[in-house]
Order: sequence, then C-alpha cells, then structure tokens
Amino acid sequence: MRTAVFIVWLLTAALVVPSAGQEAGGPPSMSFDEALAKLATYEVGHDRAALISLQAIVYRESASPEKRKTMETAFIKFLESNATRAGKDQVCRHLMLIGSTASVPVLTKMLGSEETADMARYALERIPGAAVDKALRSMLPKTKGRVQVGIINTLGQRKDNLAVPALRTLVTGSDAAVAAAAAAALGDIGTPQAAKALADVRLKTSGAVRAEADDAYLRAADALVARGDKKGAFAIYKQLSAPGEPEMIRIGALRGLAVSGGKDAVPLLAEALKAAEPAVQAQAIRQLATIQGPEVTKLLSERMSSADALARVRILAALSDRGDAAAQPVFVNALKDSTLEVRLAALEGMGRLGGRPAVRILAETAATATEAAEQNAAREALNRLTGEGVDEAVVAGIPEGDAKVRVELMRAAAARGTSAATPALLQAARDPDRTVRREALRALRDTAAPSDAEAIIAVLRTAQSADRREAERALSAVLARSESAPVAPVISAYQSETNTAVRASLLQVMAQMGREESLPVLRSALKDSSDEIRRAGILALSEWPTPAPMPDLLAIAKGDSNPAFQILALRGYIRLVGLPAAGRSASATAALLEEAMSLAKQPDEKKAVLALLPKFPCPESLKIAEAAMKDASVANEAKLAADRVRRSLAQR
Amino acid sequence: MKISRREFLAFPALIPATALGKNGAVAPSERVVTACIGTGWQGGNNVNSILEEPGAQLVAVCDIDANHLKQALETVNAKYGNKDCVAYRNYEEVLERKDIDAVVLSVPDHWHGILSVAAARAGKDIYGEKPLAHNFAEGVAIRDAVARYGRVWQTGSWQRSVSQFRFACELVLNGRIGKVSKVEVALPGGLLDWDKTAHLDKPSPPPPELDWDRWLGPAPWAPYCPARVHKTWRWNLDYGGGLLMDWIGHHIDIAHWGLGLDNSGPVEVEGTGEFEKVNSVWNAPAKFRVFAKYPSGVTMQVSGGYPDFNFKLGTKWIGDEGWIWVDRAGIDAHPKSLLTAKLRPSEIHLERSPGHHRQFLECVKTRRRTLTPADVALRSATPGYLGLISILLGRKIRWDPVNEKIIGDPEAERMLSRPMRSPWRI
Repeated sequence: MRTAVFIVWLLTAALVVPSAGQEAGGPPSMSFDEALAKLATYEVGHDRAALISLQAIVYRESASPEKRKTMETAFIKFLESNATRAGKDQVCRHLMLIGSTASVPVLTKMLGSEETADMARYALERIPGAAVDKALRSMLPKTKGRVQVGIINTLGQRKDNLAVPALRTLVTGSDAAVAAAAAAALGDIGTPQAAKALADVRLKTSGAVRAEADDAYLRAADALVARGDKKGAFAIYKQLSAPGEPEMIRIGALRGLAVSGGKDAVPLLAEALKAAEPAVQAQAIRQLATIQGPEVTKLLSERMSSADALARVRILAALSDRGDAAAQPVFVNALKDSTLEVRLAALEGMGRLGGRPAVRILAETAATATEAAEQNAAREALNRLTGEGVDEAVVAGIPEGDAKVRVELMRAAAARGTSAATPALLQAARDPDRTVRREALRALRDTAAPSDAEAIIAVLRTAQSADRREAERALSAVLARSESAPVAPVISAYQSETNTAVRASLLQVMAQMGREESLPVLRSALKDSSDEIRRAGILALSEWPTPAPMPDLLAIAKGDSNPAFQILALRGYIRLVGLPAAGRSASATAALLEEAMSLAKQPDEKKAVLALLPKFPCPESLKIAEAAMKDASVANEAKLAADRVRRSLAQR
Repeated sequence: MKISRREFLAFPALIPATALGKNGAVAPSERVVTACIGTGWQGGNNVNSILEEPGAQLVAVCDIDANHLKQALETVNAKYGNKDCVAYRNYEEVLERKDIDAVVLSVPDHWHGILSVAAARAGKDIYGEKPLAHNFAEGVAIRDAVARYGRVWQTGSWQRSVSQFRFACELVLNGRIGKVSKVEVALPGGLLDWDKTAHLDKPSPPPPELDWDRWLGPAPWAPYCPARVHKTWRWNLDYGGGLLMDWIGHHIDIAHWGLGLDNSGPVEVEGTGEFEKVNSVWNAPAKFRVFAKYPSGVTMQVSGGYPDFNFKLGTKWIGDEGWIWVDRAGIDAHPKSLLTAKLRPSEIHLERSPGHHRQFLECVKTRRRTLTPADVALRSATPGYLGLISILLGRKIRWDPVNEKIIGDPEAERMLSRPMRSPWRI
C-alpha cells in the first residue's frame, strides 16, 4: 500500500498558501488512459492506484472545457463497455463534476436498473441542462419503487417545473413511498405551479403522504416569498395556520405569516396567541417579536395578564429581544410575579432595556432577594444596564440610604468600572458600617486610577485593622494596573508611617508592584528592629516577581536566629528559584534546589522543591528526586517527580 | 411556585414518578424530555452530559448499532435507577413520540441533514453535533427547516460556552487589539486510528449488531469494512470531512465569533492538503492549509497538522494594537494587560453560558436563540466546505457570502451538494 506523502512542504517557510494545483491524492502515478483502462476491472477492495490517479486528473482538469469534453467522451465509452460496476460507479462520480448533456443518454439507460440507478442519478442530478430533466421525466413511467423514488427526488432537487404535472399525478397514486416523494419534490420545485398542484392534491392525501404534502406546501410558500410573491405566499400561510391543520404546519405557517406579511400578520398572530396548544402560542410570541411597532409591544404586554407562567417567561424574553424600551413597565410589574422564572426573565429584560430608572429597582431587588438566582440576575442586570444617566444614578446612590442597597450599588460600580464612583467610594471607605466600608474598598480596586493612590494610602493609614487588608488589596490592584504607576508615594508613606501594621501592608503593596526602586526598602525591612516588619519584609520579598531577592532570602534561611523566619525565607527562596531566569541552565537551577533541599527540615518545603524539579529536567534534578525517595515523609512526591523528570529526559 | 412543564407542553401523557432520578432535584414534569440519537463515542458523551442536567429527562436512546444502544441504555438506567428509558434502532420511532421535546443528535456527518430536518419537522428542539452538515446544501436545508418550524438548535460547538473563549472574542469585538488584519487558526491533523481498524479496509460482512444499509443511508453504496465506521468514518469524504470539518465547529467557529462573522462569510477560499493514506478508504486530507479572505479584508489562515504558528493549537487574532490567542489550554494576549481588562456596560457583551447543554435546555423553555444556532453553524462551517472543495480541485474558490454562491466556477458549485442514494432525501 502506498502511504507516501505527496506534497512536501517547507516546514520552515512562513505560512503562505501555495498556488492552487495540488491534486487530491498527490500527483497521478499513471495517465488518464492508463488509469481508465485499469478501472475497467476494478473491484472494491482492490488496489486503488487507478482511482486515485483518475480522480487527481479529473479534479485538476475540471476547469478546462476542452479537457472536460475529452474526459467525458472517454467516460461515456467506459459506461457503455463491460467494465465492472465498481468502475462505473467511480466514473459516475466524475461525471457528477464534469458531465454535460452528452452523458445523458448513457446515464439515462443506467436509470433503468436498480443496481446502477443511484450512481446514474449521482451524476445526472448535478449536470445542468434541460436534456437531463427531460430524460428523468421520461423515465418516470418506466420505473417504479425505489428507482422511481430516486428519480423523483432528483427532479425535485433540480427544481424541474415541467415535472409538476407528472408529480401531481403521482402524489395521489397507490404507492405511498412514491406519492410522498412526489409531494416532497413539488415542495422542492417551489414554483407557483408546484404550489398550485400541492393545493389541489394535498387534501386528497392522508397519513405519511399528507404529512409530506403539508411540509411541501409550506416549503412552496417559502419559495414564493423568495421569488418575491409575498402576497401569494401569505394566502397559503393563512390557510396553513388555521386551527385544524397539523400543529407543526401551523407553527411553520405562523413564521411565514410574519415573514411575508409583517404588520399585516399581527391580527392572525394575535389570534394564535390564544391557541390551546402551547407550542403554537410560543411560535406566535416569537414571530410577533420579529415585527416592530408599538402595537405589538402593547399586544404582548396585554397578553401577560392571561398567560400561564411559561408563556409569561416567553413573552418577557420576546419583549426583551425586541428591544422596545416601551415594554419596561411590563418588566417592572413582572418583578412581583409569584413565579421565580418569570421574575428572572423580567430582571433580564430590565438589564437590557431598563435604563436609568431601573438602577434603583435592580439594586433594591439585589439587596432584598431571598433566592440566590434572583439576586444574581438582578446584579447581572445592574451590571449590564446601558443608557444615559445610568452611571450617574449608580454613583448618586452610594453615599446614603439602606446599607444593603448601597453595597449593591458599589458592587455595580466596580463591575461597570465606573471611575466617577471613586470619590463616593473613598468616602464610603470610612463609613461607620463595616459592610459598606469593605465593599467600598473592594470596589475601589476596579474604579480607582493610579492617580488616586495617595487618597487610598490615606484610607489605608487610618483604616481599622479589620479593613486594612482590603485597603492594601485595593492599593495594590490600582497600582498594579499601570507599569508607570508611581511607587514614590508608597515608599514615602512607609518611611513616614509609625504604625507597624500599616508599614507591613505597604511593604506588601511594594512587592505586588515589583518596582526596582522599592527593592532597597524591602531589603532594609529585613534589618528592622521590629520582628513584625522583618516578617513582612520576608513575605514581601518572597512575592517579588523576579529572582533578584534570592540571596537575601537564602541568607535568612541559612542563618537567621528565628527558626520561623528561616522557614518563611526558605519557602520564598524556593518560589523564586522556580521563576524564569534568563541564562540559567536546568542544571544550575537543580543545584539551587539541591541547596534548598539541604536546608529544608519539614516535608512541606521538601515537597515544594520536588514539585519544581520536573520543570527543570536534567540528570541533576533526577538525582535529587531519587535521593528524596529514601525520605519516607516525601517518598511519594519524590517518586512522582523522578518519573516526570525521567519522562522528559526520555522525550529528548 | 414553579412552572410545570405541562403548562407549556400540551402532551397529555405524564412522565411516571419513577422517572425521577435517584437524587433529582427537579420534578420530572418540569424537565425537558429528551432523546439521544446516536450513542457511540461522542453520542455516549452527550448521553452522559444530558444525564448530568437536572433540567432534562432522558427517556429514549437510539442507535443502529445494537452494542452502542445497549451500553447507552444501561448507562441511563443506572443513572436513574429505573428501566423507564426506551431503546430504539430507528430514529423515526423516536421522532413519532409526542412526549419528547428535544433530541440530541450524535451521528456521522452524512446523516446530519436527513435526521435534523426530520427532527425539526417533528417539532423537536435539537442539539446537533458539529459540523452542521456533511456538505453546504444539507446545511442550508437544516438551517431552513429549523427556522421554518421555529425550533431551538444548539450546535455542539461547546467552546462558545467556555468563559475564556467568550472573553477572547469580547476583547476582539470591542477593538481591544485595534483593527484586526488576520486570524491564525491551528488545528490538529492526521487520520487517527483510534480503533486500530486502518488495515481493515477490505469488504467484509457487516457485524450482526449493525444495520449497514441504514448506516450508509444517503451515501453511495459501499460494502462494509471496519475502517469505514465508528469514529473513523470521518476520514472518508462520503461520510465526513477529515479533521478540517471535525474542528470547523470549534476553532474556526470561535474565529468567526470574535470577528462578528456570524452572519457573513469569506469572499475567497484557497486550500491545499496532503493525503497520506490515499490507497485506503480513508481519503480525507490528513494535513491541510486553508486561506480565507473576508469582505473587510481580514484574512484567516487555517493550518491542520503542520507546525505552523509555533505549534500552538487554537485561534489567534492579530490586530494593529496587539493580539489575542485562545485555546482549550488557555488564553494569552499582547499586551498582557488585556487579560485582566474589564468591559464597560456599553461595550459588546457576549452571552454567558451556564454550560452548553444547559443553555440549550434553557432556550427550549424560553424559545430564545442558543449560542450556536443552525444559521451561525452554517456560517462557521462554510470556510471548511469551500476549503475542502478547493483542496480537492486544486484551485481558489470565490464566494458570494450574501447569496451564498460560488462565483465563476460551475463545476465547483456542483460540489456544494451530494446526490443521495434512494430512497433518502431531505
């Protein structure tokens, strides 16, 4: 079996699509004549070389009228020969692509046999020209059963309007499969004549044929719309949407009414809103939603009072999708609905269409909802509200009022990135109510700019101990947002601050910023007289974004008098060893980790070292892991690390 | 008060109380009554996904392979702790059941068109696997039938339900990387021999558990051989479209989503491919490159199986102010600050999904469009259909995305559809 790769790509080349001309299956290994001769004895399962060559040639040459003609002539002779069926099947595939009316006689002959009819149609169906249609029609009375069904299907696909009379007759014939196919083909053809034929015979059928005829009639109406005959189509849709027609046909017709009639369809769709079948109601709602205008909004809104719960959900969804802000009172009213799903749909609609008036309502709903889903929906709606004055309304509600509502508005300000809320949030960060303070500090992370840093530092310096961590996070988040954020105010505050806890927080902020100019400050903290500051310094350096403070931490890990600081520093050191370091080889890193391992006294630090080893696969890393396997406290982790390192080394 | 499903489904038959799952929190009468058609491989995954949804009750499974069917039935029965689920060999029987609201279709591509249209006509809402259809014309038929009968359709393009893909697309749509000039889409390549059947490509009697003639369905007749069926059917162009079409509903769908091309398409498509197993029933390109140009001038370069784009699978949009890359493995961007960017309310927000199957079930109730409706899936698949034609014919295809026609190449136009074996039709 040939499994060669036929097209060689220059893997190093930039991605450029090569010029067209790469054959399917690669360049042919034999000539057209040679391949065709071999195809004459081809059987499925045999060597496919001839098939492949032939396909490549046909595909490649299909753009040339002359080559198509030459190939087709040869194919016609082939089909007239005693070649195998499998070979002829292949030729029919090619004629599907390049065949012309010249192929019609031989293919038509093949339509007469059940064995060859399918592949003959395979070719004929895609060959253009009235001669094909004529030939197919001529075979209708000469065939039956599955072959006839196939021909009918093909006539439908070809939209042969001249086949309408014959198909019309077949729809009421005795063979149900043929009748159903004929009905379907009339729908495919979709001309006014086909639509009329279906109108004439549809009600004379029953069972599966009727179902096919109904669908075909609907499709014929769709085809009329596509042709521009909306009036003709509307009449059909009106007929098919009437009670008494099958439910799915009514549903299809309701859509047709909206598409073809627009506002003229509203009375009929309004009638369908009252249908007993929920699926019909649902379609009426959806189709009404596609029609613009205040009368539809009014119609759907009025329907809310008599609709069941699910229909109310669907009406609200449709009103929301329509985007008519005039529907807002419906959403507000539905917030009081006894059914949760209805309230959720109303909140979603409020979020889309509510505008400024919805701010207070949504905030209050979020603050008072007892169901988590409802609270989340209200928050989501508040976060998404658009329109003039929405942000202003959010900000205006922050300074005073019910604490829970204020908290919701602050959450919204954060989610919306409302920078105008920052002054109000800074004020709220000093509110007597702790929940308000906490939420204000959280919201500042998203609303404040680096230029607000000094104001946040001021909050941090006066914050109660319970709020300090939030203030620190807010300051870090705001300053981390910009690489050019000034670190000087933080350093200055640290140096002038006397409160140890505040100084510790500021060290952490400096670590999060990771700016070179604060590194000396952090190093000096390691020598501070206060153990609390020393500890904060170790933690801050452990969080540093580059390996720069590794020597500082290693020194503490090796020789500090405080064992707890030794452990903290070692953990930080191990973390920094794991950071990317330009120019350091895996072996060099392994040496650093080996030293860390030698300093580790507890399993946690040993495990941290072992977890890093697979990131630096080298024999030295493997050696460290294998040695640790003898340590019962970390044997499992060591084995896992060794396996991973080995696997990486093997892949090389 | 909760909505009773019977308030919106007029079917008189109530699901028996025993249908309630062992630990189900949602009463059966409130669930979307669902059937899974096609239960092998991806079909099995979908069975499991539906079983995990409290809002669905899986009442029927269907497969023309008796072994797949048996396994699926056992899975459902074990989950629900009863034997209420019914097994069917023929999909027609499933579609006839009036109590079934939704079907999950996980069948080979060449069956998508017939089955989807039949399901739409029967009034079922549909979760259908990607690609939308085996070929463009069948995709059109599905799109039209779904619209005609007002059905809810979710394509198995589940990446749209994953937050990192949504976020990446939101950033692109909101201009965070400036004017986008091109998209790079890297897909896997190869003709993977999952079941070790590559060598079993000689005609042999079909196994007793498989209805072979029905499996072939509308495809040209061919004798059974193991290499044609189950998983690897996708390597034969009569039934699938290789990895290009297998992934078209994922990374290319995402590329389109980010570019706002859910209602448009390329104007030019040019492809090349390698056919590693040419002397086999596996005749799909194992490696491929497809280049598509869109009306705005944006280009998309799809690479399957090649070491392009630094070996990184996924979708990467490149703009004049940065780039964004996203894959199942993660998201990356330049500048990095994009990764923590927040969208303002006035910016484009794509729908957040509670999970792909769940979003479908929610839409069944609300009658809203899903994240991946049929018309969108067709747009996403179109570069693949055209790319495959270009690969086979070895020439560039020009496309009219408004009228959805090939321009100036009547022979290529013929390849947009495939005639069906009788008696099958859409």
